[in-house]
Amino acid sequence: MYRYDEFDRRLVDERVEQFRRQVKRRLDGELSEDQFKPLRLLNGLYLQLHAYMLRIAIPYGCLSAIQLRKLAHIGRRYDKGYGHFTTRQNLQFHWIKLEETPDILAELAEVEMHGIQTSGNSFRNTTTDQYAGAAADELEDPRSYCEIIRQWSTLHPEFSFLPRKFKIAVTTTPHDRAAVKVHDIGLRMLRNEAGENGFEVMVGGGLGRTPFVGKVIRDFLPKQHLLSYLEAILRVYNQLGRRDNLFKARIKILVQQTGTEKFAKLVEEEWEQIKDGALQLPREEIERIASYFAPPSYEELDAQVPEFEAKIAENPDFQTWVKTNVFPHKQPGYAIANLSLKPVGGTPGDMSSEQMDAVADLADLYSFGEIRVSHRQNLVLPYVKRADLYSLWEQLSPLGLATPNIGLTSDIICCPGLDYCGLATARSIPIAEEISERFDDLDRLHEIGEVEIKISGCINACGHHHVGHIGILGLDKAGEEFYQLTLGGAADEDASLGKVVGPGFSGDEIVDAVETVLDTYVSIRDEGERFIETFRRVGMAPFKEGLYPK
Amino acid sequence: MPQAVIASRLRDGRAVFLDRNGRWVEFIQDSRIAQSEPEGEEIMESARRSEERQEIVDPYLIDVVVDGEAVRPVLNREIIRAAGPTIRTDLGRQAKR
Amino acid sequence: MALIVEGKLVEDRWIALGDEAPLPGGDPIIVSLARWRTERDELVGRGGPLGIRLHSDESPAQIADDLKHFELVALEFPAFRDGRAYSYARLLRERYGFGGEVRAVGDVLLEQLLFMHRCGFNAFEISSEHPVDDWVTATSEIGVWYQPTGDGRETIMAMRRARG
Ligand code: SF4
Repeated sequence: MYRYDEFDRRLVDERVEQFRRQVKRRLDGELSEDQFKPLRLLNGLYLQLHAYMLRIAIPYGCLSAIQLRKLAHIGRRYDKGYGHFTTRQNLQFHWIKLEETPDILAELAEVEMHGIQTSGNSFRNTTTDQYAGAAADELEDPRSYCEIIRQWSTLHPEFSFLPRKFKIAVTTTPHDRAAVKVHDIGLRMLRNEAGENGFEVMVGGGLGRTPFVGKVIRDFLPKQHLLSYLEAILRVYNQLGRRDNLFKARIKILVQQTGTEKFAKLVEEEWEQIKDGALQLPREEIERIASYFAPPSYEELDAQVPEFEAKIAENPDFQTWVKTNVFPHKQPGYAIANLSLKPVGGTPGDMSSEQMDAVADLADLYSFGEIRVSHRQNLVLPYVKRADLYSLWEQLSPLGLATPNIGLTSDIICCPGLDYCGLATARSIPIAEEISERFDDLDRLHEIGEVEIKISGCINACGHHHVGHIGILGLDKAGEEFYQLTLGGAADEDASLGKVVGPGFSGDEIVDAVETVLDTYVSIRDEGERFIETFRRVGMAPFKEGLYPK
Repeated sequence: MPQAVIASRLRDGRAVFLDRNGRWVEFIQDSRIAQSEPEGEEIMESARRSEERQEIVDPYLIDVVVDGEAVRPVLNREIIRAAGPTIRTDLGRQAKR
Repeated sequence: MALIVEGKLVEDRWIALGDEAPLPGGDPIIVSLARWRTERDELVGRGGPLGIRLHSDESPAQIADDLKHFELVALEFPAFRDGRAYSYARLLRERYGFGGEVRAVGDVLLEQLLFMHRCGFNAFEISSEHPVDDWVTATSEIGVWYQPTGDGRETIMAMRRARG
């Protein structure tokens, strides 16, 4: 993992003290809310329906056991004993008191964490594959590049007041688990004919009010130019992005209105001027950062682990869990274990302080003290010996963290919605809970197979509903919650935006509608066909017929 | 329709209501209910002054239904603010009474 | 309104000239881009110190070839959220090599002074009762930087290299 040196630490410490002074001025009445709001937002502090909400950055989803324990402590001491993992691989606390935030930030700084740029119109947390460093199919560990981007994008003097927020995602695998095509900038590592690794650069993807899939503006960017190229994109956007209309301010609108080719040309012209300047990344710098992400001290193990195979054979529950929640590892004898934060009837992404402490201990025991957060709001232990999986599973079960549903119907992405969020138009969590209850039968869940349901409580789409195989958007119709259903979205390398099936559904009807869609799929799918594949083959019609019988 | 004033308390961000004595209270049952538009304006005026004293943030009037002792906001959003998250009935005001 | 130039409180010797106002003799004046375009010859011929004020939708690229005529470029922040001028300032300094005064005007918050300074601004119109103190606080709160810009401050990368 990356560790702060004295410079990283100094920056975060100075930032805490700066915010402490600002909070004091606010509480003393020297600053009005209008003046204070932009300052608190720069530190991830929102004012929501019940209290302040603090969003804490988890850089590219990497957490140490020590950090997770600190989050558990903050949840207990300053919040109501739980936190919520977001689709940006961050964590937010919903019940924070303004007067305590300086102390919270100081405690976070002790473990190299903060809330800087988790809101506001600048760079947000750069996200990546939750299996980074462990996935068998990665070209390189994406975390080095995320860290390089993190440093460059932290308190950037030129780009701290962009037209709108800005999200970057990086993937280094052919199968994209980081949804890079629906980001302001998506970076996908490729190898060219000369055998060098570089990035395909996509811009203008995004969700929200006007969703777009990103457009490729450069097929291959040599690694040493990563930062200068990003700077060129941002400089074009900062100057030309719309500032007259909040809803048209994201880079996706600029790319669409300018045209991809012309936009690419503007970027290339800007880049020509700066590519050989101070932002060039010397190979030593890339290597220096990469050394932080060196593989842990693996044991030399056989790929075959008889005691593990035996446990699978004798315990069907364990077998089921392994089938859905365990992912192959690049190191022989090791595995990636997914911890589901989607228990039946629970809030997707929520975790109690007790669970955090317990997982921190398990990470120390079984995963070199490392934990990952996925954009699908689950946790990952990235380096578990296959021989340890059974004991891990046995300990996760009583914690409620072993639901074998990763990638299945009840593994729902869900934003906080109207239960917490000041911008919401409808609740989202109760819908997720009800779906998970409706589909609590494991046989049925496995029979349906891989499907991604994503729920947002308003058009801002924090729950990524546009790119759910099944997407649900909560709206308000004359004071009543109602839900729009979209089908056919996907966030991976074949990204697509879902289409609205038809008239929306009331809160009482929406879960039935989801069930109808899934039943329809099961009745018409070809052998071995996933939901999204069936949808792409047959289109909307059969689903419509099921949902709106004449 | 009767109305009450809701706001966020500056120090801790908790949803609060203006009561008969011009103080901010946690339970909507204890809030001052304005029965007319002019009375609504009057309590909003008092809320704005409190905002200027930097005690609360973002006060506004909400429609409520009064039924004996019980006061219930009309909109879902305000019902949730007054009570707490619907999926965590152990939290918020709903847990205390 | 106080004017801070190079960290010091100074009297503003420049006249912000309206587009209709008659040209004064040799006084230092700041004109709009529109006036520069229509009265270029008169302004150059006048001989006195000349500055130009650019709105946030007017890029200095439009006057890149004319910069030799100006001692001052004022970049406007119509609202603190409008961050275009940060890029403009860097272009002025780092691309066009402008060595005169680059002044931040409009909605200039204390919290932004350091960002502005890093981008090449060296003069700031701020509303403050203790402008020098506020300047010192605002520019010393954060003392380390990752990004190389034209201001010459040592970046973290350089400090790491120096430390070895
Ligand atoms: S999608 Fe809307 S309701 Fe959900 S968290 Fe985002 S802003 Fe709030």
